[in-house]
Amino acid sequence: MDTCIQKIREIAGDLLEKGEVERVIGFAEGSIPMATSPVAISTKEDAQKLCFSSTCGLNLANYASKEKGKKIAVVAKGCDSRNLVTHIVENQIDRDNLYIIGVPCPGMVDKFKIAAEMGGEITGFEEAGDTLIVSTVDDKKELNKQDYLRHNCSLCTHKNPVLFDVLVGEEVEEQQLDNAYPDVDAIEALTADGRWKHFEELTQNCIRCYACRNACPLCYCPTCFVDESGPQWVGKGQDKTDVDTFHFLRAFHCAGRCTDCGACVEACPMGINVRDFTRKLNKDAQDMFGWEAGLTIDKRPPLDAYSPDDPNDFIK
Amino acid sequence: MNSTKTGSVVVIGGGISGMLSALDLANSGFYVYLVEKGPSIGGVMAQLDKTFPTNDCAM
Amino acid sequence: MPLKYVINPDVCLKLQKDKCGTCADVCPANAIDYTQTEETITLNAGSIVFSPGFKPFDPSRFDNYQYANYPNVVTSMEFERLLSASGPTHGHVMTMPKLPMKPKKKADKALAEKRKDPKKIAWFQCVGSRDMNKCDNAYCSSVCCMYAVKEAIIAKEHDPELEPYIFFMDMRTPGKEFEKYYQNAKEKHGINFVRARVHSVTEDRDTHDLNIRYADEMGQIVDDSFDMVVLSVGLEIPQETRDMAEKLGIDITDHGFCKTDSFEPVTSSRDGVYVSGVFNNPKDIPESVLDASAAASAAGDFLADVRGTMTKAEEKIEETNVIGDPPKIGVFVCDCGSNIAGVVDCPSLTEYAKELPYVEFATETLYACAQDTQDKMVETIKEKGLNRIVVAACTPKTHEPLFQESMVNAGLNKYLFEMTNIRNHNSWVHKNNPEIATEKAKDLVRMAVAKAALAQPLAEEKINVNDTVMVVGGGLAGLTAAKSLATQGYDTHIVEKKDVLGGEALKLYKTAQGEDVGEKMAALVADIEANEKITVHTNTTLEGVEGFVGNFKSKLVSGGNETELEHGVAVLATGAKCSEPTEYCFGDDDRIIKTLDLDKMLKEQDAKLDSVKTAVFIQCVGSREPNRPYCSRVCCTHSIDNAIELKKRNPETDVFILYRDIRTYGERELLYKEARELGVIFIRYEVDRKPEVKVEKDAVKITLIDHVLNQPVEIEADLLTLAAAIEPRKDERLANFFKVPLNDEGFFVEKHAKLGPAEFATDGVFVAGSGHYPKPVNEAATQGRAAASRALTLLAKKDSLFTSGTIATVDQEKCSQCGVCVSICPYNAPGFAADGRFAGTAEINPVLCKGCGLCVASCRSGALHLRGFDTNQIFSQIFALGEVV
Repeated sequence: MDTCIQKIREIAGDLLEKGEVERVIGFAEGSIPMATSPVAISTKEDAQKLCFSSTCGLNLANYASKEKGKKIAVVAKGCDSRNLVTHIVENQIDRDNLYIIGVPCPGMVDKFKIAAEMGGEITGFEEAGDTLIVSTVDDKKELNKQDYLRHNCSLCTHKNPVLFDVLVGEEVEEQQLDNAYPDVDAIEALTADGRWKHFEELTQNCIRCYACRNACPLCYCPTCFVDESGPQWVGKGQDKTDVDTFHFLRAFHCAGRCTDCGACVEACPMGINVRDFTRKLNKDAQDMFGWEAGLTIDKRPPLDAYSPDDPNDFIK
Repeated sequence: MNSTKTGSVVVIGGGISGMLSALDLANSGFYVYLVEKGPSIGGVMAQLDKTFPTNDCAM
Repeated sequence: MPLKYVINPDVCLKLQKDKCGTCADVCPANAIDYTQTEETITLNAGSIVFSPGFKPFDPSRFDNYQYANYPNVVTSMEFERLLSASGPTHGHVMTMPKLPMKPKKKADKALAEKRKDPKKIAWFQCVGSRDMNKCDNAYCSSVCCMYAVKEAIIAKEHDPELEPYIFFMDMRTPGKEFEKYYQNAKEKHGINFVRARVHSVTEDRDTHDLNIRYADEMGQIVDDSFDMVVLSVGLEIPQETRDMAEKLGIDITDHGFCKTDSFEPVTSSRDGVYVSGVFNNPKDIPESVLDASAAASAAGDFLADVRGTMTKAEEKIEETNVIGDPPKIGVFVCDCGSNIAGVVDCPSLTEYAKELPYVEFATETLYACAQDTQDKMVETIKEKGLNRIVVAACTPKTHEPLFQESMVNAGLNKYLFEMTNIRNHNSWVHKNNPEIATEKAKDLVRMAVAKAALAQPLAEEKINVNDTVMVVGGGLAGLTAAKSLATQGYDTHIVEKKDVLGGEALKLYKTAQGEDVGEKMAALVADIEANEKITVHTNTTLEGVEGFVGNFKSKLVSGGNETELEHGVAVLATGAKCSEPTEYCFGDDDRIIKTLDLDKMLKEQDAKLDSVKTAVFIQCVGSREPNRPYCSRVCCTHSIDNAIELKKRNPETDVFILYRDIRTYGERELLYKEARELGVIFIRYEVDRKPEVKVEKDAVKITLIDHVLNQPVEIEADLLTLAAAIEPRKDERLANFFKVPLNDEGFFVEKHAKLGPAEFATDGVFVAGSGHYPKPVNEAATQGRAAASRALTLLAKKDSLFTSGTIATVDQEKCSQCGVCVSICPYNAPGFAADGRFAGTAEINPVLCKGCGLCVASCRSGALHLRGFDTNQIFSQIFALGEVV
């Protein structure tokens, strides 16, 4: 991991010094343990701020598209790179203006799960290979990282960046899964009432802060439908119907585009597993169109295309 | 220019062929008289149920 | 069409005996006029298009099928009505359909009790066609094989337990997508096909089931029983048409069809008289449609000098500006006679409408579409200062344009109109619940009023049309199209990649009618070259196309030189080619040749032909096979034609034609008959038992199983001609240039299989010739003319071609530039703005937009709107529906 950080800093410094990019977007250490934050640096000296660890759960593609027209470099894990691909396909970034510093991803840890295990405020966090050394004021534990991976990382089959200009570190081995969607299967197996109840409970704590939307690289519309007032698609308050409508519609806007990067769940202050919505649509995209988002810049997502002979068995 | 010619056409028969011929002529600048012996135009095609090979409705 | 009633004077009591008169009493529109009599009108016209159609053959005179006596023997036309939802049984197939549905006579009543749903139906093909024994119709009617297959499939869809049998001689499915339809009928729909001519039908006296007897392919006599027999009757030219042809002074064939030249296939023997449809040889709907347009083109050519002299320009009425004015809505409720008023309480609906927001005026009309109501509507709009109109009546699909015309006549933008269907969607379907129907009508009117209040006048953009034409392909179809377009005054450019004009037709010897193709083509090419409106670009390829209807820019490249051609329309006539056979030892020996090679030998009077003692033709070489599942259409006639030629050159020559089905449709059948009379021997083979060919020193040895003897037959031939499949050019690049589709085999896909056979769905692009589907000379010429006619109707609208007002628009502030609209539009209407404040955001080309709304629904950012169906309008309707008043 340390050599990887070293290389990120070197490459970033070099790119800035030579003026090949105006800015490098990466991760920096936060002010408390396990909290990393996105950072945009523009000088060689600042490259030393860049870091990388199993706590870099946010998706940096989200920040890249906000720098339209500038030459930038982005530190990208597997999922970030897939979202960069989506951004290129959807005209949010020009490939020629983008330098991708690819990082083979070891998997990100679930901060909520570790916090729950430790019980108190975490004061220290270190990684030694697959071992996490976590301390609180009065305790210190060695945890096996594989037991504390984020749910999406534990099911990830694209840890290595799919598109990059340079790769820092050796490619990691991709896992083969017999079933990539056990959680969706479980929900699908419920009765219609059971499913409804599941989603009712899922969203009952939502405070409509839109952190999930803001963290999501797919949500780049100048005016989101929830903020629109003419026509007003969704009510602004906490009415349950409006809350659910927001989640349903957002999920549908992500259909065939979501890379399951987990940024939405990472960002949610209420601990809502928003991915229950998006993953069902990811599974459908896989089953109906053999499609996984963000793997190629040559093809648009299936719902972005129309052909007169599209299957239309649903119209009966 | 042949001064004896008149810029109108009589189409005899109001079946699918006659109707469409009349339409093409009218739409390209000729005055058309469509003459049909029966009380309505449409001909045999209007009596058919479906048409091959698409099974579209004949109406 | 139109669905109006007429009085049959022969049985009308009022006219015959001056009694009754009930119809005049009950007609609310006062439309009955007993005083009308026959009158003679003399018309002065520049030319005549004669399209008298046909009569279905009447099988009453055939005693072996007992059509006149057995209640369960019906004609295919009767069966068609039986399948139709608008037919006497509303689409319910039942036996004894010829009896009245509710019989009054005692004997009929007894019979009707034995009615049942048929479980086994037989279709007999070639009734009144290909038959010189019982009638004089030697020709093939061309359409019966396909319609019988269709009727069998549809009947089976109505009742999956039905067992349909089709008894045929040759299965003739040589049209576009026909062969697949036939194969699907066998494989997917379970239709049984039996190659046999049924000798006779007898009836079970008690059940009225039908017993039939026939000899199967092995010569065994088979007895079978059916609930119903459908006679696939042919198309016949009635005596009155022959009489009329005589009056018109045009030549007809022995069978009453019009005599035409293969190169001028809709021109009769008399100047100025053109023919189309079945009178011009038996044909199906798309071919009749092609004939229709071709006849229009030919008549137009004849009258080119006086085009536009008899038509009047429309008067233009100044449009009132209503922007900023509060809505003043007028509501017209239509009774549709009793169609609506018989169920819906129209007076109370009208009163209800008066109370709705913004409604200034509401009235009930007997027929909203009647001319006097239209005049009234115009008057009311002016008098009351109405600025939005709602009509509650039937379907906008048929009537919206009519009402919109009245709007325009009253000086209102036609998009300030809203129509709601209280008939098809209401009074018809809720006939038994008048109260609910009235409530629903109120809901529908309330919704329409809510939407109309938000309607805005929409602008239709004028499309500038460049009236130059580009024809791609200098073959027969392309040349025919170009000649007509140039004759009617349009500058026409022909783009041909080869160094000469004429295309594949130059390789042909004679047409099916015996015309010398070489001579005729030379004359046509000379005409083209002498026409000063036509520019010929030989050795030229098309390397790019930009633009849209009226405004195309094409890149032409010739010998490295690039030129740009601006044109308004394009005709794609790129043709097809002969495939290279991969079987029957083709290429191993120079005695094994293709049809076109034989044409060449005949053309050149090759001396080698004199020494031919035994000539063999093998049909369907590469056609009707899994990798080319279509029939190449022309080969049967072509081989038979050449076989006759060989026989005529030397009657001693033994000529064999090895075939699967002989498909000499129409009067081509007469050639088949002639060939047999001349002694040409026809041997049928099955596709799984193809002939085997061996090259030996003295002869080419062909072995196959004879279908009559079921024994191997060996033929030693000194000339083997293979009827190689016709192959499309599969020009995907060209298809992409014009955004036109190719089918699985690589033929162009026309706009509509029936009603748009010479044009593409892309506006301003037309199709002709074998690139559409293999076709013989006369059909290629017909389609060439048809494409020209379709193009002419567009070019004639030069100054009045407008886009629709209901198209998509972009709110560029909200556009996220994601490009979904660009990717998803089937018509290429959205693009990215190249410059300006909103560079990079989406913009819609109003000319290309069809207003389908696909982009609007796909836009995540809500930046796209469909004019006339904007979100606020749709919401207002939904909220109006939810309103409890």
